[in-house]
Amino acid sequence: MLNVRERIRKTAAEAAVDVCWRQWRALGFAGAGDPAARLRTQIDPEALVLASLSVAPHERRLDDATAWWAVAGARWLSVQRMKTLAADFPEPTREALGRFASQADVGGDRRWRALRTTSHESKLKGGEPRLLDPAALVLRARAGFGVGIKADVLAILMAAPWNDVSQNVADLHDALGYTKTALRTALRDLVQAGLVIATDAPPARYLMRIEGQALPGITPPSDRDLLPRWGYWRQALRLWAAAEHVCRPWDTSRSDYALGSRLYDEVQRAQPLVRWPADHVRPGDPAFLEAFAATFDGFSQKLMASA
Amino acid sequence: MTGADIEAALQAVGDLLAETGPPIRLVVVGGASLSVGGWVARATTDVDVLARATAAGLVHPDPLPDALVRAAATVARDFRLAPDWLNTHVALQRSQGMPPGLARDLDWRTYGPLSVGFAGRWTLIALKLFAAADRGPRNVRVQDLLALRPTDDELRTAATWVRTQDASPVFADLLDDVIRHAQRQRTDP
Repeated sequence: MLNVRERIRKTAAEAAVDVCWRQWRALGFAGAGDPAARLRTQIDPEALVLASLSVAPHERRLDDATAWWAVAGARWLSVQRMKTLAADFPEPTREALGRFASQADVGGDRRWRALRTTSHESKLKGGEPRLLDPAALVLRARAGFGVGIKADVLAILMAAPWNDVSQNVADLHDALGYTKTALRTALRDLVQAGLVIATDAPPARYLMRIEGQALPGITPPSDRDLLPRWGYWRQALRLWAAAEHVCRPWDTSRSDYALGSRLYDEVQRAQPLVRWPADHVRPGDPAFLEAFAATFDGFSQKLMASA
Repeated sequence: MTGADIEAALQAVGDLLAETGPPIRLVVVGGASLSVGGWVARATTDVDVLARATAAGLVHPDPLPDALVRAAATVARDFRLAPDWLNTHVALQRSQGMPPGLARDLDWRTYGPLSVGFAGRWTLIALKLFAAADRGPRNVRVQDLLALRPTDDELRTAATWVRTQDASPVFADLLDDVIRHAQRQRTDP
């Protein structure tokens, strides 16, 4: 029977592997088979790579997926955003990112050279990336407009009107992790370019300017409600990666209290995606870890169902 | 917080410090010392840090190390304690000097990399006598003083130090009142 640390770790690893695997399938990784079902949420490409590197020890084929992507799709990744997001992932993930960067560099994308740590060459063939999947809107926008903050903002706003959600700067910061200053600058330009509309009432909310009923080539009008919404995978995948890391059974350096407090911190950082119930036990309670295991399992099941 | 609660909170601080920082040694007085030492059963809301123990001896605790401040804030959140449950207010009030022999009158307890020296009985008698004289004989400090069961000799010795803290005639009268009150309460409870 697993102890509470092992149960939390198992929940985290299984959830992350499940979501990563489905997203790689959607992107066309041949080793993952055909997409089993259409994704309900947009893929966050940098978070997908980092989470896959994090939990690859639980599912080695994720190493194949990232090795494939390093060659087939790294050019649509943002090196800067990868570095920013990686800072929130566990140390072993950051080390593994060096390997991914080496593969991407050898694959021909010189932007990754500064991050490479080994001279690893990928020989893996994984098929052509499938950018037209409705959940790959960020990658599609980057392929079309270039890798950068404006393409990412456009991708989120493209999806947002279908779900009747406009976005303010704070929403976009939560979603993407770019600084609010950078987001304001990007949004100002997008508004000036007539691609995005800003509401007057403060704080300004932004939505995609759509002439007619749909964006040509993105989705037909009849399918509007089915365009995947933003999934906040940056937060979810980081939460699972962190929980998997801190609950390693051979790491006994943390007391139950310190571990519970750290896990509670991680949940707090995953807001607004998940929220610890206000009246629930806190890490200072001896029963916290057991309560966390049950609540975390609930969070994870819900997030997997939303993927 | 009871004595057990205080020790649980300090252990939690030590657990968090184990991940981040070097050893820290604090000297604690007040209700926390009384509770942990088992002198009184009343709960207290905070832990009064009087000094930090360093290789150079006891020094003013401010500024507390960043790692300790962060850990204390996390413990406040996790145990639903007041944000300033671990504070140095008492050190600000005690700028005139410490009771003599404080460094030798500490009950050291270890919570991982955090060591806490709880003021011993003699130091507490001196500090509580001063506080009682400063705030009047009906103050809770008098009850704390009585709980420590000071002898006449101990009260006399403590009073010698307390008088150095405030040389005014009014304070001297108040001090005498408190001592008489303590002696009456001891003989006629």
